Amino acid sequence: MSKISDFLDTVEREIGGAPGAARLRGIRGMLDDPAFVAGLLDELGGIDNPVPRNAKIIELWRLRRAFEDNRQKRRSEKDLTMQFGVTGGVTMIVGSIVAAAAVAILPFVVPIVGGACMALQGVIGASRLDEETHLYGQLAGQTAEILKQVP
Amino acid sequence: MFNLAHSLDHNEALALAMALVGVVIPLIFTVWLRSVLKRDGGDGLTGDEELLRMQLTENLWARRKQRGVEPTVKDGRFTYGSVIGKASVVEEAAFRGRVPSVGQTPSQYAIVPDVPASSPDTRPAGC
Repeated sequence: MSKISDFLDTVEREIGGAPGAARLRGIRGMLDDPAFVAGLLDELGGIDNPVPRNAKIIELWRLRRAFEDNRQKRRSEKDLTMQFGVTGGVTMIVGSIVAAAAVAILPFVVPIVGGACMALQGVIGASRLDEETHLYGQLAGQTAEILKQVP
Repeated sequence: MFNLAHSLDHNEALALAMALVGVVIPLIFTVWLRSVLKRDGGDGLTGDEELLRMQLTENLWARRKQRGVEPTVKDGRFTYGSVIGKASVVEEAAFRGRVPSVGQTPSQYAIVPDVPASSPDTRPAGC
């Protein structure tokens, strides 16, 4: 098995887990590299037996699907984080301020602080998930471009 | 719990409820978010992968050299001049991300490999 195949196997295995944005950027750098694309296409072109050749192409398709699935998953998680964290946190803050004005200030300080923490965590988490969504989108797009070039 | 509720006056019960709401809900959210953002794997590319990338770059450059496309140094980086006209369809497509913008001369839109010239290991022999 070639090193390119090893790399694709590693990527497929890692995508099944949860690689971070830095790792995804590394994978993107490799897949975007014209030398890698040329090497992969050369390797595919050099396989005469249709069975292993199809297996390689199917592997690429599987990788593309995995990227797309992960992009959708991250997008859903980002939406949930925004709704629970930011919207929920801000609602808690506003609700507590209104209640504090109507009843008493002191009991409502805790939900205000808690809501602020939730909103802040939600913003940070959503931005991270958004970056990963973007990276998965680019990876899926680049894999599709490579598949288009397969002779 | 029932006795506790009876032993508290209205304001104390309200304060307790608010404290619970203000702590428990953010805590649940924090735990959930941590599980969502939990990541594994390394950063960037591993050493072997970087090596593979360098080898593939060397192979690509060597193939171009075989076809008589000599790299030149421009602005401290290796370029291939107007290689777009000479590159194969596959390579052109691979370089699609580097198409020239309006108004650029061929020497300005010369294809520049991702690996900078300062990286000695990636240079093809004789360059």
